[in-house]
Amino acid sequence: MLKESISPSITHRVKIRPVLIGLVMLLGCAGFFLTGCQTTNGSISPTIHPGFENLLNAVVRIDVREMTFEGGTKRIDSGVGSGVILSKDGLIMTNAHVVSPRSIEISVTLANLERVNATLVGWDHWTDLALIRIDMTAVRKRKLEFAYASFGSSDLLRPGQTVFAVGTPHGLSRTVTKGIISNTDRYFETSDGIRGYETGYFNTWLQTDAAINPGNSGGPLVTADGRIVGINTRTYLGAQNLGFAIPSRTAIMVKKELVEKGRIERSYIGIVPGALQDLEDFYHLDANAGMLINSVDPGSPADDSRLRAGDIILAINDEKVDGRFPEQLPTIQSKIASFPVGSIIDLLIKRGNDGFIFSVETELLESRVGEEWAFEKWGLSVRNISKAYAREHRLENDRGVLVIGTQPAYPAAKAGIKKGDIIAKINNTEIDDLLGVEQIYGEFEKNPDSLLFETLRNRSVSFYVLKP
Amino acid sequence: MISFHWLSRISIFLLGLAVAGNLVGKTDASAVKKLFDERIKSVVAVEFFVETEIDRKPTTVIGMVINEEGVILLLDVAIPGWLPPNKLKDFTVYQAGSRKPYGGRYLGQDYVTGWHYLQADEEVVDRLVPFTQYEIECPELGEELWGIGLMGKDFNFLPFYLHGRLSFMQKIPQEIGFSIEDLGSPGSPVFNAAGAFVGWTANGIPSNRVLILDGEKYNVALQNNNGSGAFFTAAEVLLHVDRVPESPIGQNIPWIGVFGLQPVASEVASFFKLENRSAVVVSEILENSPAFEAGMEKRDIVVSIDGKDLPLFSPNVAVTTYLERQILMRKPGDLIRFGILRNKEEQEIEVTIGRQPKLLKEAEQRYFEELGITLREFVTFDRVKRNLSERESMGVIANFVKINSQASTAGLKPNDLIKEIDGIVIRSYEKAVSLMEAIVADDTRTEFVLLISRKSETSIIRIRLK
Repeated sequence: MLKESISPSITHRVKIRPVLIGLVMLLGCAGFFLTGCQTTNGSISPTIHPGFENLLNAVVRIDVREMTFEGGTKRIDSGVGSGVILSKDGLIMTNAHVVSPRSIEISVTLANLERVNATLVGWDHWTDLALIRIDMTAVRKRKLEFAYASFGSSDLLRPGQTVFAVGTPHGLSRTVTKGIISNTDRYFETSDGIRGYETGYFNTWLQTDAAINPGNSGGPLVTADGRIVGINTRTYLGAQNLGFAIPSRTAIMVKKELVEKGRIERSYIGIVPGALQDLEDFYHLDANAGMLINSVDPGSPADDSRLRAGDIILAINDEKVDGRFPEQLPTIQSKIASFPVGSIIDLLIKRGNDGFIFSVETELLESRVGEEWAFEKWGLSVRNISKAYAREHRLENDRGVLVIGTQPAYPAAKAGIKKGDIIAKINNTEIDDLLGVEQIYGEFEKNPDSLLFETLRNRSVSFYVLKP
Repeated sequence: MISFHWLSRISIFLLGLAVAGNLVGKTDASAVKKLFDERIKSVVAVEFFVETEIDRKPTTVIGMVINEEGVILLLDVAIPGWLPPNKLKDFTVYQAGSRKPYGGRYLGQDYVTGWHYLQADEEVVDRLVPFTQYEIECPELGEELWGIGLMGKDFNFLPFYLHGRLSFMQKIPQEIGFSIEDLGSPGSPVFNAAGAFVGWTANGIPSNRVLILDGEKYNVALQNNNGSGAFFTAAEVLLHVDRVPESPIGQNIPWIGVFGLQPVASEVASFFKLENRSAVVVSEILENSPAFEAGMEKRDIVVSIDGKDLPLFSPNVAVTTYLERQILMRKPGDLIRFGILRNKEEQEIEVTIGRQPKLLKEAEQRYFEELGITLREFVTFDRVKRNLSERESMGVIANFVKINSQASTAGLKPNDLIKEIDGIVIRSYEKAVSLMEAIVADDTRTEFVLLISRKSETSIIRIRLK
C-alpha cells in the first residue's frame, strides 16, 4: 500500500476545501496484498458492456517531467496522472494540472502496457483541461494499437446514476472504481488554482462518490456503456467519497477549441458576479431576472464603461440573464467569455430604478500568472506581471517582473532581493518584462559586473547591489 | 508585564538576590539596600483596562516618576498607539511593594518618542520621588549598573534588585545602552553604583537562540517582557522627557505626507556617487500633502536636511527614524529644506510642514450593539494602507464585527470598507451613523444591504435583522 497522502477520515467539524488530485510523485512502492484471485479462463464477465471494455483500452497513464522555476533555479519535477484517448490519431484529454507548457517530457503508457511519447497540443487552466497527442510516427513504426473513447452527455446525468472512474490513483495503473453521480451541478465559490493559475470560473462540477485519489487526475468518469461524461479532477483531502469531475459538456468545447487553435481565447470585461438570491426585494426585481455585479476590477473594460458594484445585468446583447443562484454564475461567465475578443457587448443594466444600456468592449482574458524563468547565475526566479496581477495588487501598471524565489547564498539573495519583490529597474533601465531582464542577464554572462536593482516591496522602493 | 507562573517569579527573585549578594559583596550590601529603598519610590506599577465592544482587558505596566507633580512616564509599547484614549479605563497607580491603589489620569502619547504620560492622583504624589532628584550621569563602558524589577500584583508589586555591566551604547538614532544582564523591568529607571540616574529601561531586545526539541534544532528569537538590559540613556531621556502632551488627542503634529522611507545601503550609495553619505528613498508621496505640493516625487533620495547631511547610522535603517524625527521636532508652518537626489542630480526642495491629519486613534467610532458592528470614521491611515486615490477615499470602516452576529454570518469582516449602505454612497461618517441609526430604529425592517470593499474586490452583503 502506498502510504503517502492517504489522510485519515475527519469526523469532527472542520473546514475543508477541494484540492486538485494532482500528479502523484512516485516515491517507491511498498509491497501490497493480493486481495482477490484471477479467473482461470481470462473471460470477461457478460455484464460488462463492450463500450466499457473499449473505454478501458482507451485510458492511459501519463508520466510527466516538467520544468519549474521556483527557488532561483530550474528544477525538474516528475509525476503521474491519467488520460483518455479520444481519437484514432492519438489525441488524449487530461488535466491542465497534469500536463502544461512546462512539461518537457510526456510519456504515455497505453492499456497494453506499451509506452510512447506524446506532445502538448494545448492547455486551458481555466477549465483545468489539456490535450496531448501520441507520437503517431512511433505508433506506426512500432505497430502499436490502442482504442479511443467517445463522449457522452453530462447534461443527461441524474443524481444516483452509476458511474465509473478509471485512472492511475497513486500510480496504480488502470484502476476502475465505481460510484454514483452525487450532484450534477456542484459550484465552488473559491477555486484553488493550479500553482496560482485560476480555474473553475466557467463551469460547475460533477460530484461523485466513486473513489478518486491523487493520480486519477485527467482520467475519465464514464457511464456503464463506457461513454465519457466527465474528466476527474479534484477531491476533498481528508473527506471520503467526495470526488469532482469536469463535465463532458465543457470538455467537448475545450477539445474543439484546443484542436483548432491550440489555445482558448476568452473575452474579459472585469466583473465579479454575485448571486441575486435573497436580494430581489432590495433591488425590486422579479425572481430569476438579472445577475448582480459584486465587484468591478479597477482599470478593466467594465470600469472604463463606468459599470459599478451593485449594478444588475438584466440582459447581455438582448438575451436575458438569470443569475439567481451561485450555480448559474459559471454559465453567464462563460457566455461573456465566449464573445470574440474585442467585441462590443451591450449590457442592459438596472441601477436604482433606472435601466441603462452600457456598451463594453471586451479584452483578452489573461491569467494572473505570467511567464516564468530562472536566472541561475543570479539564483533568481521571476515571473512576468500580468494585467490581472497588477489590478489585484493595485499596482500602477503591469511593468516590471515579480520575484518568485531566490537561491540562498547566490548573488540575488546575497544582495537582499526577496520573494515578492517587484524588480522595476536594473542599472537604471526600466524593466518591462522578462525580455528586459534576459537582455541584462545576457550581458552579465559575457561580462559579469555589479548591477543596481531597484525594487518595490510592499510599495516601498529599495535598491540592491547584485555582485557577481 | 510580570505575568508568568508564580514559581518562576520566585526563582527569578531568588536568583536576583543571590547574584546581587555575590557581586556586590558584604561590605556594600547595606549601601545597596539604602539606595534601593530610596529609589524604588521612583517606580510605580500602572494598571488599566482596555475596553472593547464586548470585554475589558486588564494590563499592568511599569512607569517612572518624572517630576514633583507626580507625572509618570510609560514606554511606547505600554499602550498600543492606535487605541483611542477613551478605550483606556480606570488607570490605577501602585507604589512598589504596596497594593494600595491610587487613581491616575492618562495625559497622552508624545508623537516624537511614542512615550506615554500619566498623572498620578494628588494623594500619592508626596510618596513618589522623581528621577530628577538624583544625580544624573552618563554611563561608561563596563560600569556596574543596577535597576529595579517589580513582581506581579499577587506579590504586591514587590520590588527586586537587578544588575549588570554596560556592554555597549549605540545611537539608533535614540541613544541606547545595552547590558547582557537584565537591568530592570521595562519602564523602570537604571542607576550606577553611586545611585546616579543613568537611564530608563526600554523593552527587551529579542535574542537569537537555538531551540532543540527532540534533537531537531530551530532558530528562534526570544524576548523577555519582564526584564530588559536595554535602556534609553539619561541624555536621551532628558532630551524628550518634558514633552508632556497637552491632551490625549488633537495634538498639532508636524507632517509632510511621505511614506515608505527606506535607507540606502552603503554599497548602493556608491552607485549614486554618495560614498560615505547617508540617504533615504521616499517611496510614496500622498496626493495634495505638503511634500506633494512642494514638488517631491516618489523615488526621490533625501541626502540632507537644511543643508546638513543626514548622519550615518549603524544599522542604517535608523536614518529613517532620524528623518521622521527631524520633521516631528519642528512645528506646522515651519520650513524644512531637503537636499534630494533625483535623476543623478542633487537639488533642494523646501517643504512647508503641515499638520498631521486625524490619527487612527482619533477617528470617531460608534458601536451598534443591536447589529454587532462598530463603524469607524475613514482616516488618512486607511487611505495609505489601502493604497486608495483621493477620489476613492470615502466610506466607513467596519472596525469590529461581533462573532456570530447577523453581520458576521452575512460575511462582513473587521476592517471591511463600507462604501454604501442600502445603496446610498457613504461620503461621511455622520451619514453612515445616521443611516445605521435609522435602520436600528425601524422595527419593520427585516434586512439591510452593504456594499463593502476588501482588498481589491467589492461585494454586496445582505444582513438580516430578524
